[in-house]
Amino acid sequence: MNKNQYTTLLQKLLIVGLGALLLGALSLGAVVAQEATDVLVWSLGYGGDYADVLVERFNEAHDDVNIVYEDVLTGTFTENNQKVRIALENEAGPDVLGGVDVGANLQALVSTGQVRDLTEYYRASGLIDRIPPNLLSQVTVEGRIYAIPQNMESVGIFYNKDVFAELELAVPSTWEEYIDVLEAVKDAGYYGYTMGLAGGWPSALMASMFMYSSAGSEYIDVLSGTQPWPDCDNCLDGLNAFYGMVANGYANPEPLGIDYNQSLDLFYQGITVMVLNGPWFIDDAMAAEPDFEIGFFYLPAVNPNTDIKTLGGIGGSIIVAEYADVDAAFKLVDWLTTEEVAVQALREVSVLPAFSIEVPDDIAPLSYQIASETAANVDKIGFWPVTYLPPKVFGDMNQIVQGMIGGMLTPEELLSEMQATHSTYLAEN
Amino acid sequence: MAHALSGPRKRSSGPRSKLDLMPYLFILPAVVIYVVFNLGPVLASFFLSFFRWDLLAPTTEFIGFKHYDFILNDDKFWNALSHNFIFLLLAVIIPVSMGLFLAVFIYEIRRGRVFFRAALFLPAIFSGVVIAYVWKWIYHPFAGVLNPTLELIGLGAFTQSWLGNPKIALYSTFIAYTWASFGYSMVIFLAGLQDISTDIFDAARVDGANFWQKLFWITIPCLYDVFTFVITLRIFTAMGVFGVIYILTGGGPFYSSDVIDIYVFRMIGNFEMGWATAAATVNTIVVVCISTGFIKWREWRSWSS
Repeated sequence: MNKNQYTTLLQKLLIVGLGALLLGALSLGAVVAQEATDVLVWSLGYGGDYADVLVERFNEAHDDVNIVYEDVLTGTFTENNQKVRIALENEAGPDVLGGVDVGANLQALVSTGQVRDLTEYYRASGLIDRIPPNLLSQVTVEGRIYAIPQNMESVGIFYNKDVFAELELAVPSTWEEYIDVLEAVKDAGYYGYTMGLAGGWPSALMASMFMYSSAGSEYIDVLSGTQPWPDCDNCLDGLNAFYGMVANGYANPEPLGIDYNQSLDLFYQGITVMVLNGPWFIDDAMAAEPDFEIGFFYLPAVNPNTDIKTLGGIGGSIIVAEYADVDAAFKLVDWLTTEEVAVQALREVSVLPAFSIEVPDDIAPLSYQIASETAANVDKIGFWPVTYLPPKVFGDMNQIVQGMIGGMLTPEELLSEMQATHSTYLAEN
Repeated sequence: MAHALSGPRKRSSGPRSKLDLMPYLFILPAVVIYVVFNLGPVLASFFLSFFRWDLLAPTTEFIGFKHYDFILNDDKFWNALSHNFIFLLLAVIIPVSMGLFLAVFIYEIRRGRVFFRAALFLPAIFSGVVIAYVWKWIYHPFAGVLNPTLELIGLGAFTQSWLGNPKIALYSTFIAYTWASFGYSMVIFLAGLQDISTDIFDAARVDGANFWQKLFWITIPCLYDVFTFVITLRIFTAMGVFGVIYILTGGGPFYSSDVIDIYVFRMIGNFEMGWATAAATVNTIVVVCISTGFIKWREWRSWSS
């Protein structure tokens, strides 16, 4: 073998070697790509197109975990609940699910045996120190933590700032001042309180707001079934205050003739001046583009001694399925609970996280105000009635409150009717 | 001729067993679909009503007639059932008579028959959900067209909260139901009218019968079987009314427009499958009794006359 032959052989070997290296690298890349674990997600707890934004951001930032997002929770609240419960039971559901309602709903999901116990994860990740105890209690079932509160909501009064300025009204801080504002608004030809209860929703929520505002945590005892409804005199004061919105002509006419969405139109058109609502209302209001500025304040307490500031609670929480790949699922949970993602969500879709963050002051003023006040009052929030009441009793409460607003029941009779409904249900179960 | 007729008969009687199976084979797919999608769920629902089950748990608890005991002692169930009966009573009178009169009107006119038939049948082809939403806006106390129209024509005294007033909410939903359903009755009556020999009407005209005499003495008696069908149809739809009421009032205010299907729906929404199926079973029994009783009564009257 001469020198040229050697050179040619070496060249060939070099080419073969490089080719093999290239093939190896490509194969390794393919193997690495194949190792990205899929995490099936049905909801990340954010509505609309924002879920797609989050999925894209997560998948771009992670090579080893890939979210497979299926937008299947498109039905009503009940239908979605049924889908999730049946899918979990059959181990055919999502690996990670956001936006889960706590309380009775979470307990039902846990009873499937397919919701992962996150107690150890809380300790290991330090999340236990970032979530207020009262919220943590809402995701604890029999001493174990099964969900991560994702966002926090509280209810307050959104008001038409232009009308307040026109009538030279200040934001009320006491119940008496609030009544003075309602009177002034009424005298000026507006309606102070927006009410649309056709179909039921949100009758029970509104009534609960006033009962919390008067009875405070005593109302929690009533909802939990440890105190009879008719024995709660403070609840009665709250109901009288609520009924006063209609009886005194503060609320728009025909509250039972229009539904919730139709009542919001009255606010956007400037017919009503104040509306009791939650932070989800901000997006609705922005979309409606009213030609006035909107402000926010908490409903002043009917009873100044109440220990509850307002109605609210966990907007949704994250659960991990027992059958999910733990490492991959926790990577997604880690990411969703980072301050960066939470602040982005607050800035982009006005969702306040349930875990403590520094509320940035460069967000929209209304979002900032609600987020700051909710964060500041997180230990004084009375949770949604459905957190304590069985769904059936809550559903009946919507109709029973309609009975009071329609003049078919007095506030006292409402409490008796609720007691009958609640105790019948508890006896049957 | 006799030979020609007897030939095929003889041939068909040969492979009799094969020929006898053919009709059953043809109806087999329909029977399977009926059993799987209709009869099966009804029987399963009846079976389920004796168990406590929340739709999810793999285990169920047999509790006998406890759900029936609860349902039959629940004021809300009887309230809902009574509303179904009111709906039923109105449904066999108003949409049926409207359908009949409009069918007779269309049958009588010479010009525009196709137009009126199509126009009046149009609401019947819309989805119940669409109809309910249209009526929701018609009844709207601020933006609706009904109250301003009443004021415009001097009937301002009748303006009110059509869906918010518990005394009339059920009847307001019935108006929407009627609007959606009279068209069906009309086309069925129209088809029946076209089967009546014109000779009978011609003879009546020669005898000097007026419109009402022809209607009561010829049209209605000749449409006896059509009436049976149309009213039976109304019994089913009135006892099973759901969509229109659910969208317009949700059964409120304070259960004033509640009906059995909404009662059942609420139970299902609360994962009370046993209660829901018990209520649905009672409603099914009521519907079967009413419709069978009605059909038997019509058969007896037809036979006795």
